Formats: sequence, C-alpha cells, structure tokens
Amino acid sequence: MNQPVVRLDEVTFRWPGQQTNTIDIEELKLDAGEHLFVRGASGSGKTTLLNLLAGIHVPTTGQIHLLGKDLAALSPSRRDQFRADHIGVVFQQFNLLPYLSILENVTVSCAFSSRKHDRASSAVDVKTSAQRLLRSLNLGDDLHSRPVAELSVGQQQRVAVARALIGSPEILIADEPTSALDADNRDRFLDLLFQEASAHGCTLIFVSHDPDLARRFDRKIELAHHDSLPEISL
Amino acid sequence: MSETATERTVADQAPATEAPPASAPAPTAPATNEPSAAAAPAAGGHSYGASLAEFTGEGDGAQSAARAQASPDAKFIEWGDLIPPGAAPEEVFARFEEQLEAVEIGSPESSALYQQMQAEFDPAAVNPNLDGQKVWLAGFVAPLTYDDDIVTEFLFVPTFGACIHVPPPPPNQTIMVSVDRDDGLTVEDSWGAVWVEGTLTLASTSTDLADTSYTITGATSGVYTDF
Amino acid sequence: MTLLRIAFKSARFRRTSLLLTVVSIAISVTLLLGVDVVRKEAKGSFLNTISETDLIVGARSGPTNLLLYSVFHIGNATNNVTWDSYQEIAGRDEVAWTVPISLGDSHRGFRVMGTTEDYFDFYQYGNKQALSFDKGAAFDGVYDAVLGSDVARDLGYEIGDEVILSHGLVSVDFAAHDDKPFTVVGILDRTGTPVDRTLQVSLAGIEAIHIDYQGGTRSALTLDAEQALRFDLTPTSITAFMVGLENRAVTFRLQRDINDYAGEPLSAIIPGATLAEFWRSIATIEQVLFVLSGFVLVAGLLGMLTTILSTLNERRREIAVLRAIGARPTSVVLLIVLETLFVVTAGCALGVALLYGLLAVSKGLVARRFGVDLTLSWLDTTQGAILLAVVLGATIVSLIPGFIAYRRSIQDGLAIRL
Repeated sequence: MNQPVVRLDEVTFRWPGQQTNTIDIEELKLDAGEHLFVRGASGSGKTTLLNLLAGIHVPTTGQIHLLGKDLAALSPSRRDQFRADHIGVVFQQFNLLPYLSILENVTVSCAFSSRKHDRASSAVDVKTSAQRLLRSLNLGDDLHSRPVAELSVGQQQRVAVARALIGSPEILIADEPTSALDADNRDRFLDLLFQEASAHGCTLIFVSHDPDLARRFDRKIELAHHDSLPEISL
Repeated sequence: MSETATERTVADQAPATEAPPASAPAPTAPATNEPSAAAAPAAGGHSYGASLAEFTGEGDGAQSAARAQASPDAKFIEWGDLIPPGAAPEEVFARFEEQLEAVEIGSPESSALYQQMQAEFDPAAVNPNLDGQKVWLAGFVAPLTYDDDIVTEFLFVPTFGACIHVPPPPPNQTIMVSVDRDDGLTVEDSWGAVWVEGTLTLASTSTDLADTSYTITGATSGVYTDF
Repeated sequence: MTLLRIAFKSARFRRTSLLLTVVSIAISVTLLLGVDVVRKEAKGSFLNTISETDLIVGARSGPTNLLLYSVFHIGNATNNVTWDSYQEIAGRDEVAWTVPISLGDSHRGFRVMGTTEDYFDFYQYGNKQALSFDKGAAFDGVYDAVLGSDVARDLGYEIGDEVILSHGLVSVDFAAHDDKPFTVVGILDRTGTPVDRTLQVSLAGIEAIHIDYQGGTRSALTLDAEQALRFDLTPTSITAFMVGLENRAVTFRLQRDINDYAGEPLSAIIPGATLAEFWRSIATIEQVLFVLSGFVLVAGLLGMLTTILSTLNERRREIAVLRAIGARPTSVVLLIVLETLFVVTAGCALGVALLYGLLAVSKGLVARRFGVDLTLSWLDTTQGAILLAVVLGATIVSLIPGFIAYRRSIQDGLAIRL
C-alpha cells in the first residue's frame, strides 16, 4: 500500500532508427485503486505506452516499476509471466477467442497464470468465479455457453472485462474499450467497469482519444508528440 | 588359414587357363580334415589367375569382414573343397599334361582335349571328409521355396547367372540348402552373393543311382559383402 | 485449459477450411501406404504361387514369359512341346515325376488347363502346401472338370453341373465347344494362387474337344462327344510340363541339357529362381512408385502450409489477445504446431481408413486380373514409420508459419491493426 503500483521514471522509448522519442515521460506514479485516463490521438504513441506498461517492450531509457518490480530487469518470458499474473487487458474490440465459449474466454486467463487461478478459486471454483463476474457485468447465465459470434459488441466488451478481472490482477489496462460502443452503452459500460475495478481493488489505466470521458477520472494525462507529459486538468 | 586359402585358390584354377606345370601339386592323402591338395605357389612369383589376395598381399584380411560373423567351429571352405580327391581338376590336368603341351592353345585340338578333360571329371562324386562338417561358404543362390518373401530353400552354387558359355555347376558344386525362416534370406538378398553356414551332409537319393549330393540343413545365411 | 486444449478447439473451430488440408494429407498417406502394402502383398502372393517344382519346361521362350503363362496363366506360349520330346525328357533317370499341361481354352473368362491327375498330387504352393478338394475329387473321365475355388464361387457351380468350354481365351458362343460339355466332378479349396481361377480337365478332354479343329477352325465334319471317345486321345503336343527331380543337385545340369535339347527348341526354368529374377526386374518400378508418392506428400504438405500462412493474417488479433493474457511467443508457435498436429493426425487417420476401404473393395478385382491376393492386416513397422515421417514432416513445415507468428507476436505486442 505504501509503494506506488505503477511508477515511471524518466522513461523514453525510441524505435531503432528513429530520430525522435515516441514516448518521453519524466515521471508518473499511480497508487493502488487509482483510475488514470490517458488521452492520445492515434499515432501519439499510446500503443507503445501500452506495450511498455504491459511489459511487451522495455524502455530505451529510464525505469518502469510495476508493483515494485523493474520490468527491464526481467527476462522477456518473466515479463510475460508478470503480465499473466498481475495485469488484465481490454482491447477496443475483437477481445475474444472465437473458438472458446463465453465462459472459457473468461477462464482462459487462469490457464496462463496459476496465481490468478488460485485467487479465482479461493472461495469457489474458477468456473463459478467466472459466472459471478459475468453476472455482475449484467451477462446472465443463459449467455455463458453461447458462441462468441452471437453476442453484441457491448456484451463482448463486458466479457472482456470479466476476463481481465478474473483472478483479481492488480492492474487493469483498457485500450479504447468504448470506442466501438454507442453513447448509451458506453456510459453503462463505464459504470460497470469502475464498479468492478473498485470491487477488485484494481488500478485502472484507461486509454482513449475521446476527451469527454476524462471527466469521470480523477487523474488524467495527455500524450502528444515530442513533448514531455504535463498533467492537465480537463 | 591364410596360406591354405591362397594355395587353395591357386590350386582350384580350372585346368584350361594356362599351362603352369610348375604349380601342379601332388594329390595328398585325405586322412586329415584339412582341405585337400594344397599347392605351393610357383617359385619365382605369382602365376596367372592367382587370387587377388596374392597380388595385394592382403591375404585373408580383405575377406575377414563377412567371415567374422561365422561361428568359431565352422570351417571356411571353398567350392573346390567339395570335389573329392582324385577328381580334382589338377589331377585330371596332370594326366593330360603331355597332350596339352603338344597342341597350340586355342586350336581345335586343344578344345577337344579340354572337352575330354571335362568328361573325365565325375561331377557327382562327393568329398566324404566333409560329411557332418560345419562349414562356412560364400556363393550364389537359386531360390526354390519361399515362405512369404523369405527364401527358405535354395540351391547354392559357385557361379550363377545367365552365362551360357561355360557348363552349368555340376552336382558336386551344387548344395541344397534349407534355412529356418528367421535365418532366411529375403528375395532381394538372393540376387547377389551370399554366405551360408551350416552342417554339410551327404544325402543320398532314394533311387539306385550312385548319385549323392550335398545338403546343408538348419543353416544360417546372409549377404556376402566382401569383394 | 491447457495449450493443447486451446489448440484443439482452435483447429476444430476452423475445421471446414482445414477439411481440404486433411483430405489432401489423407490422400497422400493412402498413396504412400498403399504402395507399400500392395508391394508387399504382391510380392508374397507372387513368390508363393508355386513351390516344390524343380523345373518347368516349355517351347523356347524367355524365362519370364514361360513362367507367366505356365504358372500365372498370363500371356500365351508361342509354340508347343511335342509329346515325343516330353516323353523322352520325362523318361530320364534324373526325373522323378512330370506333370504335362495344355493351355489355350477358356470358360466364361477363366482359363482352362488340360493336365493329368498327377497335377493334384504334385502342384504345391506357399510353404509346401498341396492342393486339396473342397468337394468332389480329381477328374476320372474324359469330360470331367475340376474347378478352382473362385470359378465355382463366381459362377455358382456345384458338383454335377455342366460347363461348356470355349476355344481360345474369349468366351463367345461361336467358339464354344458346345457339343462336348464337361461335368464338374471336383472343386478345389482356396489357394490364393491362379489355381483358384482355373478349370482343370484331362489332356484327353482337350484332345477330344479339338478333334474336329484339326484345320485350325471348326470343320464341317463334326463329331459328337461319344464319337470323339473312340479316337486315340493321346495328345501330340502340350504347352509345357512341370518336372520334379530325384536329386536336386542335378537341377542346373538338366536345365542346360533341356535348353540344348536337339529334338526341338525348348526352355527350362527353375521356378523359384525365375520368380526372383522377375521380381528384381520390377523392383525399380516399386521404387519409382514410392518416390512419386513422396512427391504427392510434399504437395499435400505445401498445400497445408499455404492454408496456415493465409490464415495467419486474420489471426493477428487472436495472437494479440493471447499475448495480453500472458502467452509467451513460444506458446504462440506451439499453438500453431499443435493445431497442425491435430490436422495431420486427422489426415493420417482418414488416409488409413481410405486405404483399408480401397483394399477391401478392390481385393476381388485385383485377384482376378493380376493373380495377386491382397490380405488386410494391421500396419507393420515400415508403414508405421511412414506415418511417423508424415507427422514429422508436417510438424517441421508448421514451424514456418510458427516462426512468422513468433516474430509478429513480439513486434505487434498488444497492438491490433484493424
């Protein structure tokens, strides 16, 4: 509780052969349970930031500490395991594996992390945990064994949230999760997202190009080309 | 063994190849179990038709690979050993020596003489010393009986093929071999040179013919790879 | 949920598009295994057609030709052996027994062979198997016939039935010896050799039906069955004869003597040796067939590779999702390899099923046309090795898209390019 969940120090990232930094962040600290809104237009490097936060890439300079661990110090497979154990990811769309059922799509994250599996099965078994999560995201039991193709986009996005949250990872990264939803669904989605994130004590990092969403977040940053990152209030 | 093998090869030459009287040996008594009639190499060096081993000086070394598989109690024999003493080519040759010297090689008279000498051989005569002897021998196969694709009975001869320019192998150069299926040759193996190891017995036929022949039963066999 | 289960579900999900790949692999498996099975079956059946006959003698001919027409009843002799020559050779001291045979006629597609009752005693096959009668016995009268098991079965004959022989190999009514019907007196047990597809009659019977064919064709002066019996039915010539020797060691010498026979041009073969030589001459064919089948497999694997590569693009999102959940790049490769394994295993299973199906269906036809008996048995070690090689080949091929997916998963990371 005392150390920040996420901590970036003088982090820069430059693709090999490029002249300028794609990412240049002097400092960023997130404590447990905080919700961060990252605003960036496409091409502003938000994808790169996500990859850095998820441990796919390591920064060119500087350090990224997640839960006190310096990501760059870990080997690639260790980083993959860290991501499996401590992070949940929601994409803009096409989150789900079409060949697994809804329920299997949720429990699959536990297949890659025994930590998540243990945490998900502490009270009841993993399957029941998944069902509960889905119910709390307004996805009734009748949907659980449906094939992915039969669900609407909004429903699919909520399944993605369930998958990201099962096993209670400490960090939840959402990359434009509402961009494919209409306005009504978007608000409802955000409500559920915040509710469940809080219920699980997650630190939420929410990336979007839409500034209107920012008002629902306590912390916001803006990514732009070439500049360091001022914290602004929108 | 090396000495004997080399000498045996020299002594075995078909009598028509040349006229090396110097190497004609005296027939020895068949009292021992050693292959009969050893000859000394011609004094002064190699004679025409001597074995390759003589020329290369390798002796038996070159042929040991296939023979290394043989049982210790098996005797290595050559085809000439199957011809009993008295019927050996060199003995017949000795009888014709004089007449041969009188004619030119290649002339019709010499051909007639060779044919006469051929007739002198008693091709059915067998060497009683080898009866019951476990032997090891290399030669060629004419399959008789198959069990699936394994040759279980075959005629074993020193030369085989469509060569019609020389007479076919006579009965005392033809061994009737039978093998168990597990030790048998595949039909592919039978196309080339083969070695056989087993107990040689003189089998007589049920007729009143004087014919007897060689058989080897319960033999083991394999592809002969030395050249 | 293990990676294996994920791979299985993934492959199953795309089964319609993978179906063609499965089928193409199945076909190449069927071909590879089929060549091996047929080769082995043909060889065994072929080599076991005749045994315990020391020589076969016919008019001068190539050894293969003589073997084929006298034993397999494939092809024809160009000339006959005179009865006198036959008698003289048969009378030699070295000869223990002989069986003369006469070919040329047929009955509804099956060949007719004239011979003596000794045939049933001396013809052996396989591992010294003698002929045995399922029903009845050998012929006794001039117009008696013994049927091979397939003849009786295919044509539905029983003891006592009447058969009309045809002159020549094609059974047409204007070539039928319809005035001299034969009676079935014996039906042989199945042998798996050409004997099954032959009718055996006495030499006298053959002479009798040709009694009015002396001019080469049916003469106007016809003689009925009764009248024919009054003639001397000793043949003047035969097609070939089988020889058994007192002492097998003289085989080669007697063979040479017969080949040099002054009376007429003859050829003598040692059946076992000629079988081996014939097999040798077609050995290259089986190697060629094998190589061709190998190429079919390569084509099948390349097709599979194309299919997997074409789907890789669509699967970028799926791979990104897996990476997000924590899958390592090697897990992504493994996923593709495992999916391929499922596909190729299904292909192999289908291929084997196809093989047995084809064998079962074509057994009868192959036996009739080629005299080869195909038996259905479990796959042996060579065939198991072939299957293993197919699986291995497919696995190696799958590493190509696997590697591509590997690299992409590292570069793309969580990005999904839409």
